[in-house]
Amino acid sequence: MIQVEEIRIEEFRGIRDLSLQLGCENFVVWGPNGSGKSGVVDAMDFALTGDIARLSGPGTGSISVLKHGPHVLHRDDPAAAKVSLSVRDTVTGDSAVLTRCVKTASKYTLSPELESVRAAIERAREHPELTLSRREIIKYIVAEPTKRADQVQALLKLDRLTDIRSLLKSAQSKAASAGKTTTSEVASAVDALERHLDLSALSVAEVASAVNKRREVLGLDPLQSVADDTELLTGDKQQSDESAFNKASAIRDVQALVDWSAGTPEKAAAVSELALVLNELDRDPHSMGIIQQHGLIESGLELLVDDLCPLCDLPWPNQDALRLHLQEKLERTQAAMQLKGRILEAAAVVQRELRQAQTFAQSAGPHAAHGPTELKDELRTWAADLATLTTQLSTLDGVVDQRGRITDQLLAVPDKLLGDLKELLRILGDRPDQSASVDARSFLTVAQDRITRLRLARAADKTAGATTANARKTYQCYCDAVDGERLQCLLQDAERRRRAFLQGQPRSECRKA
Amino acid sequence: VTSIEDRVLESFYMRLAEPDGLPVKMTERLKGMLAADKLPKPEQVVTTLSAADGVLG
Repeated sequence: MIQVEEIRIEEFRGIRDLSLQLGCENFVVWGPNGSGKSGVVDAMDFALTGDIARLSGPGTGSISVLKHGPHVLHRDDPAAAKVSLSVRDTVTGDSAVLTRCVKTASKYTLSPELESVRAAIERAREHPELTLSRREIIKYIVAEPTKRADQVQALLKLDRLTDIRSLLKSAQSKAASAGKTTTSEVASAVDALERHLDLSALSVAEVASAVNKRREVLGLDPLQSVADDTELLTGDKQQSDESAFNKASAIRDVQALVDWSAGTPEKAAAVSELALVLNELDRDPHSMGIIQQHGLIESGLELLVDDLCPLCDLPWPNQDALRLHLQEKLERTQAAMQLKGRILEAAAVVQRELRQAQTFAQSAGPHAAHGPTELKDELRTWAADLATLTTQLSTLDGVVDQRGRITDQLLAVPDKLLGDLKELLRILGDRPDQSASVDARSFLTVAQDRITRLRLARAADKTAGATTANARKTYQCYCDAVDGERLQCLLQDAERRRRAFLQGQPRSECRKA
Repeated sequence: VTSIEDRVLESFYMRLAEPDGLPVKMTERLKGMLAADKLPKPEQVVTTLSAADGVLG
């Protein structure tokens, strides 16, 4: 630890020239507003760290030590602004003078050059929380009880640790979300291939059989097996302009979407169930508020360390009574939480149907060019809307936002689009039948495209899975590191000491090991 | 002696370096990003943690 014997401030902040003999004792600086009291704290902060905490962080914009450190009369002369601290290392008793100038803020001189004092200064430099400005302390005092932990972190200059935690948590959520998308794309690719091959499942034998049936038409040898990189047309010498279009397959793709729109008892039940549970939510207007309170009360129970309510700071007769009260309150929210669970469960069933529709729309998309002029755009717009709606149905707030759309029309293709799809089916049906060889060749070409799509989708899904695992691991390691450094304990202890100070009670130590 | 922040981060990187942690190159890149004055965006962290860019081992 170091103690300050004397401080000399020259042309720094609001101070022209000031020397204070502190004699390694505690001291108080007082004076009217604007007299430069905070300048003394800034000077100590600057001398020890080369920075001024008050001039950095959120809300300080383009303010810098170089421009705003010097006195206003020496704004363009940072070399004139300097601070000298005569410090003493309490371990060795050695003293030296530390001098730092605004122009070369990253360096300081020490006279005499004593290793023990330099080490003590370095230790102080690593702890910027040693100098706290009036603003920082007041912000802590006036903070709402639930925000005090954040303020303690700010006082200890630990905000960045909290920011990193939020960052890694957010990265974990984004990785998981990307993983869901790639998994969904695999399902969609499987569905498209099955439909094209007219199979209910992609068994190795059945895929090979479907492929070899067409190869036989083209006079090609049968393939022993079909892997995701097998060339289905290997050995074929002829190229065809129509090879990317297979009439029967295109009709199956479009028909699947039209059939989806026709509806089934299961789809009707899914929408009806979701509407029903949302009606329950409507009947109790307080449910949403109670659901939001659940997390707060749960956190409150975790933070309970004495007889002061961690949510409102009110004192209770004893900690057990307060704990019982919070537990009872938590139990009262259980019914609302169960309702939330049922709503999200019902929404998940609807989401599955919506994803199925997106898969069909994606397969029908390439054939739209053969149909009415507007069909392609209509299909694209509808698919984008389904994607947004599917995402919205992942959260309670999202479901409530989409309340107006939860009707029997939710899982149906819009009338205009449906009409155009039926017209497309008619146009496709009217096209002349392809000759056996053209049909076989186009069948294998489309199959090859869809196998390639499936291969890429599976590779992307595998990568996304590994990324999600890495992000989860990273976040967990970070949380473990924070807990391992007993940071939570430190924060709770600081809060406990504050309360003890306010109540005039003896301080208790953190009980966490 | 190091600051609380340094201690936490050092412990974090040590945990990542354990056998079931992250590949060394990935950890190094993450370390570089978290040491910068301005923290990266979550998407940049996801890219760094992605197994797709050849840093699996």
